[in-house]
Amino acid sequence: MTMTRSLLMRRTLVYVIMICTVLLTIFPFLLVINTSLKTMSEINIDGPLALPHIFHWDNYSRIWDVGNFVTYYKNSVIVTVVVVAFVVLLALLGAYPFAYMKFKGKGIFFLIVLWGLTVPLDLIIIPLFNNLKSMGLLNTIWSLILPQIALNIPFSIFLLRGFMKDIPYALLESARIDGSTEAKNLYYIIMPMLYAPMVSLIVFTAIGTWNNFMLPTILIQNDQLRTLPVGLNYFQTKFTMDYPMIATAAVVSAFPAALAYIVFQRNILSGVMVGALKE
Amino acid sequence: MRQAAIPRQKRTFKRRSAEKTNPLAYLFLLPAFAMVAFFMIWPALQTFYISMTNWDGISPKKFVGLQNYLHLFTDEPMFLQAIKNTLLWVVGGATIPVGLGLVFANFLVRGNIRFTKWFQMGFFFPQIISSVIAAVIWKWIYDPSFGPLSAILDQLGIGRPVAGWLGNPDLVMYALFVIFVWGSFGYTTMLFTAALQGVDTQLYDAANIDGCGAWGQFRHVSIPGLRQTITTVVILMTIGSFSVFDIVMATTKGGPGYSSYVISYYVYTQGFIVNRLGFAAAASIVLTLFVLLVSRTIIWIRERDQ
Repeated sequence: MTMTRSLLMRRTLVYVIMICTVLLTIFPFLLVINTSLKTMSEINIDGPLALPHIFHWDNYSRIWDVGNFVTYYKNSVIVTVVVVAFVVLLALLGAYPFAYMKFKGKGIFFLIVLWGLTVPLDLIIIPLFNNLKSMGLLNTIWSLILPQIALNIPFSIFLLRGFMKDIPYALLESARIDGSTEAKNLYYIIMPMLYAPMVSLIVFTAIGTWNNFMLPTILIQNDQLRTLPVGLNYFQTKFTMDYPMIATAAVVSAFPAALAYIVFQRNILSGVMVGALKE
Repeated sequence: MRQAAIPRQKRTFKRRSAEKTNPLAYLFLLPAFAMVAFFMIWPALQTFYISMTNWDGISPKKFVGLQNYLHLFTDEPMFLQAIKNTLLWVVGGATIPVGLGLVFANFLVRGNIRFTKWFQMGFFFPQIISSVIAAVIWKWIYDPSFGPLSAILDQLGIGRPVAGWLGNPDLVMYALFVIFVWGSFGYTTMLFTAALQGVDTQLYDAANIDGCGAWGQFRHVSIPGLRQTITTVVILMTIGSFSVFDIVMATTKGGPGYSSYVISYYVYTQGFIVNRLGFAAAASIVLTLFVLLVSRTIIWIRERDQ
């Protein structure tokens, strides 16, 4: 009797802690959505916590006129799509030899992958800027696309290699005996079996590219080429005091990633897990 | 006879392994590693050279040896402040989110509660959005005149710093670190949850029979069962903390004064605002060495303990 009561108490306590933490975690988002539906004069009068008297949905139509967000969106979409496509292609090709082929220098190549996993962007950003400048690529969309493909490759190879190693080798051996080529093996045997990790990789790379801030901040000075995070940062320094507009901009910017998270929740979780914990 | 036989055997072994080398492998690797070589390895090597020059990005580089490094540590108070802040951030980042993650993962897996997926999803949500959005939101939360935090404290009748949190040189780093913890504890929770599900439940039953309460089970079953994962997560958080940039850039820009400078932000300002590229390169190499040194040390400690 006392045993069950103390268990019940403990479980209630755990629920209380968990619910409080979740509320505290998402509270900033709720506040921002709340503010995005108000006007500045309402904030001045009622304070930042009050609910809006009328929902000012027109903030969400006004934001597209006030800021250059259509352009930011377009740039983010282009960069993300191209980067993801190339990362997936190059990582598939790059991971395959690590998992299934014998070649000289495998150890060194793998060391490069591991190095790439941990190297801080700061170590390469200064020459990268100057190299792109001397190639005439600075302030073009390619200065965002090409380096981000490269920066995503080590993790992607690492992730795909991990999953490829789980596929039974005998499957490939028998295909080889039947006269299949390596390219065919990759396309017809490996890729279909990698469906789930591929989705993880795509979602993961897409969100990372979509959210990247440091690289476009440094490599892009032209407002017409800004991606969403850089555009949002620019917008907030321009509209310092108009909190409803900044809040609206934040919601509009967060929307795609939030949607992707809700849709692909499970893939993101497994992607995070494998990325961090495998080996 | 015997001595002669050994080299020959070695030779045949070598030839056989050479035969097994599939030239197609290099073709597969070529596109990926060409990109990595051109956009990562080559620039990293260039950084080493630039760090030993005096360069404004336009006029020719002037070789100065290790002078930049010497100056960084002797007469650059901004850099020393950046190192201090970064190291503080690393110490905090490698402990607080890790501890929280352990506790919440334990609640999720061992707490006999429902809706665990929903809790996890809520915790992880800040990780999904761009850190700029997080920074914009929190900058507003911390605003001393219009921000909700001030409003809440005023309503509760609790005093608050006049210059706000981000405007106060003594508080700014803590205020920024709160944003980091808010953004990252869901990630650590998720990693530990996955690992904890792999710990044998019979161990908990055995501990229970031995009279271990919830705390005892956490201490004597969960923690030892997660040893490997804890090391990994600590290293991940260490690396992440060393390269913190977005939060600082999108909130305080290193201010007030230079009280919230971190190494990454110092590299950015030196390299792209005041055009002292040699200094920036040297600072980035110091940062890289720190990352290497600390993550190696963590691995070394863990291996020594085992």
